[in-house]
Amino acid sequence: MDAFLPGFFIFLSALSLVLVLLWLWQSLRGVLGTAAATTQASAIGVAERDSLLAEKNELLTAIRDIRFEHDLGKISDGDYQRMDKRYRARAREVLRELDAQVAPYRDEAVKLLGGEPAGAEGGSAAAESDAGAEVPSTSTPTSSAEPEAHELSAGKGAQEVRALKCAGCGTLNDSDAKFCKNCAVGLRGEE
Amino acid sequence: MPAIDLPLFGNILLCGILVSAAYTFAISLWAGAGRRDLLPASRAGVYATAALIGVAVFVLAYAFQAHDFRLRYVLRYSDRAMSWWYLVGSLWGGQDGSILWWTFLLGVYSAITAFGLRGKLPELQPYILATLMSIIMFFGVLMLFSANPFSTVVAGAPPDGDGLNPLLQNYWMMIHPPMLYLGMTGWAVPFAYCIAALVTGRLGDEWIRASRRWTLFAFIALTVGNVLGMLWSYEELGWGGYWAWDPVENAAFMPLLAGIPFLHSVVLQERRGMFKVWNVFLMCLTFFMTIFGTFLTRSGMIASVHSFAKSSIGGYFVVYMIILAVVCAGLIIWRLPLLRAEHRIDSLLSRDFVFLLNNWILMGMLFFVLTATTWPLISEALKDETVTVGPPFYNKWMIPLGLILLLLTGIGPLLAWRKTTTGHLYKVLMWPVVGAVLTMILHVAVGPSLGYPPVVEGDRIYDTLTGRVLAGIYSASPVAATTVCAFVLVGHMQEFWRGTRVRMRNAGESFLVALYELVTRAKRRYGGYMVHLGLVAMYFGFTGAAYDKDKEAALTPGQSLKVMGYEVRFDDSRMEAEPGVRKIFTDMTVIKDGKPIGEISPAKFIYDKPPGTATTEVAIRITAKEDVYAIMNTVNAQTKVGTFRVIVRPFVVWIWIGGLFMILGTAVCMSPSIREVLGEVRMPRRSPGMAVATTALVILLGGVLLIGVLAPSLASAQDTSSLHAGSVTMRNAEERQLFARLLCECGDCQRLPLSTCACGWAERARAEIRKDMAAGKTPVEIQDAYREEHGPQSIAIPADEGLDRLLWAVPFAVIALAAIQLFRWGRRWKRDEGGAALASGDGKGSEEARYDAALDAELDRLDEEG
Repeated sequence: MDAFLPGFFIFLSALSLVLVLLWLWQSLRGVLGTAAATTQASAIGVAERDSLLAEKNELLTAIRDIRFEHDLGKISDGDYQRMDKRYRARAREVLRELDAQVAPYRDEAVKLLGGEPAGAEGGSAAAESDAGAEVPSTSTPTSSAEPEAHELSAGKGAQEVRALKCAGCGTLNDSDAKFCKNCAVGLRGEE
Repeated sequence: MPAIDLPLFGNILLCGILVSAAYTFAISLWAGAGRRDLLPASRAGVYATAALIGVAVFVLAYAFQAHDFRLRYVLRYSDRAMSWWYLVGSLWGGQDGSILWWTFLLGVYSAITAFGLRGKLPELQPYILATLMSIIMFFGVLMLFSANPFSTVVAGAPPDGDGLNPLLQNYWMMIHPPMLYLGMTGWAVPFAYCIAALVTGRLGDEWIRASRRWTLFAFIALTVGNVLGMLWSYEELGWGGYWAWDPVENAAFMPLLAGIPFLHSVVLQERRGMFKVWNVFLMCLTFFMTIFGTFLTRSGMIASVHSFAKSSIGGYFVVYMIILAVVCAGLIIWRLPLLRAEHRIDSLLSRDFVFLLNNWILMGMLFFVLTATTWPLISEALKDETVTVGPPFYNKWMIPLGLILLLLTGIGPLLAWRKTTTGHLYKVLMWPVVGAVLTMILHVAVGPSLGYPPVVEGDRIYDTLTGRVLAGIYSASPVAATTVCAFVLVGHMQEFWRGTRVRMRNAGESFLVALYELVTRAKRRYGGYMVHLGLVAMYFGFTGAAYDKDKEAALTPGQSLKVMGYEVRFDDSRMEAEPGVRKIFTDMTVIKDGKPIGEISPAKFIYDKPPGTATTEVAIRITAKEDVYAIMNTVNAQTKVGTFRVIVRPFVVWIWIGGLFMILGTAVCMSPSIREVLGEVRMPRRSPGMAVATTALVILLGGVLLIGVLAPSLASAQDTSSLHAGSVTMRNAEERQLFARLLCECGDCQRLPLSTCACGWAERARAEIRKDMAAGKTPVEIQDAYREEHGPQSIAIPADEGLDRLLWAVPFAVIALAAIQLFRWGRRWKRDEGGAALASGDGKGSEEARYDAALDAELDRLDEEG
């Protein structure tokens, strides 16, 4: 051990020194603006969203806690109702903020599907539930979002579907496809 | 010796740490001022700084292993004969190295924090990193200008070093200081979150939620650090106790007294939106206390048996503490409008209010310990007179405060949030009160016959009314402690039982499943209850001290000593010689009811370096009921006559069991849910890896403590030491109590009490005092005469007169006034809230109904999945 340890500590020092240089280089590149552009804006959005989801989670736990204390007989009915009301009010605000955050993306998503954002009104809480990964979509209180998605593909989107049917083999391709995924024939006129 | 210029390289590294931390501090602030794109660069800067501190630590560790005595630090704390194990421990064995180690731990904490913050808390993140870097900058300055571990020996490298103090050459040195540093440094992270919240004005629950696991970790690491210190003191130092209220011990204890209230009052902020100002204040105070504690330990301002040497380091700490106080106070005042409470306490009969009382008593204890610890300085400033505040003073005064804390621990969990109805109060109080009363009756009826009388003889420290009151409280403390312990225990059991029963009824689960579900669904609450149970066990252990029985005697082989039903027989002595140390063991047999039940071997180790240094190795036989603790004072090689002290200490093992419970409870609080571990839940700011890692660490702490408790019985012959013990023989308990209060004035021994100091001066003083005692003088009279002769600093308890009265009067007046004010506020809040509660409307819009339905669906889902 006496012979091994000095070498071991030299190795650790050298390794740490390499890491120091690596990180310092990375940091300086960031400051001097040569680092690969990161998606900071969206990262901030994600962080705010995480924070809201965490708060929602805490509020749900708090609501559950006071219900349990009420079951135990520790909190009187009146107090329970008052506290429950307070927590729910804040939880609704959080859900609303979460909805507000996804609203632009929702519109974008609906546009991408080629339809009008017809389901925006009814589907907001559902969109929130989907976004909160710990709450799968079964908790959707209104069910209008899914049927509407079907309508979109069957209704207005039908034109797109027709347009992208391969002239050669008849395979249906994605709306933005340039070549047929089956026979590789160009789907756009100019190809 | 290495060819490279290690000292120069080390100094360059220290400069590098300072520059790197300052650079990261600057770009973090820049990121906070709008350049969010700099956050990755800022995090990389934190990693680089931490790695740079790592390089410095590894280089110093290398210097120890390579015996590079050009470095003054290596020269002073190691020699060529030391094993590699102690050479590693020497890293934190002295002042300069321990500051580098402290900085290293802070660097590791900062790097983990930065890593965990990727893509999270974009508002707070820059300031969290900047705060952490500012602390590293302070330590960087300290190392460069005052405590440089890479400074060189002016005269050139000598062939061998001075060696590590034999007192530190034991396995405790390897685990206790690092654990304590881990706990002290750990508070820097939640403090950084707090400062970030203050700077950004995001003063909601966000920072509290995000730093919760850090806070819990710092709490448990510091608790374990303190308990390990007690274990070290008890099992190795050989003076028979576990806590001496030394300034250094107090330094590690005070951050806990500020941190525990924080852990409680944040619950009120999360649940009720109350005490935002108070919480940021408490967090700032806790961190401040860690710095203040380091200052106390290292500046040499207050005499302590185990502080580091006096140095110029104190000035730097004072400046830093002033900056810290000004910045924290400034930020809090600036953000005061945002920190207004959303709600107020509704009822004095609520858990909310008991939480407030918990804060009150812990703050009171902090204020008391702080005043007593700094009293020598205050007294010097006020009347130019040095005084000493020793263990007898603390032990007497802390008993009532501790009992109040324990009682509040028992009451809080029984009450409901906001308001407890009177009917419910009777219901929940019934069984705990019945349990407490039954225990009291049992103690009074059966205790005396078992050797545990409910009331013990009070040791009067003053001849005044205060002295009589204190002695009275001390006398009644055993029965009071068992009664309150029973109250808390039954109350907590009832909580577990009621919760389990509701689950059994509502969910139709079996008892064990319901209990498991109960705890895992409300981990913070039930984990907290487990910590409370640990406190009960600890307090029970402390109570045992009232029943200590000890005896000293000179024995020849074959003779024995009888204490409290035990007979301890001295069998023989033997010597083992090892390089640098001679070990003299005395083998003894412990006999109970005529049957041998165990063997113990107290010992003395005599070291070559420094020449003639001897350490006392105690031997302990541990059982759940009591410990048999044997100390060998001397043994004559020719006549084989040995002088021994044997103490029987009831219930001590419960202190360590309490510590284990606290770790377990905290682990439950911090543990991730199964869904988190499986990665089914994307819990913001609680990644599964992080959660599992923290839990594993907490379990590791438990392991360390467990090994600490078990180790002495497995290996009582570890290289250990005695700081306090000497070859002093006491004739009776009265002598021991009196001599414990009188300090040696020889000038060489850092004022050890006469009960342990073995120098010639102390021996002569004892002989004179024994004459006085034989002449019929009372202990208080002797104490006063001793003070008269040698000055006020020669007594471990300041006099109960004049300005010295302020020592206890001010803290207790503040505690009492705070209690009165709390109740007044409570009553006013109650009146104010009366009408306001019903003000909010009942109407539900369609949107609200929809969101409520969504919430209900999610709650159902949460119930299903746990």
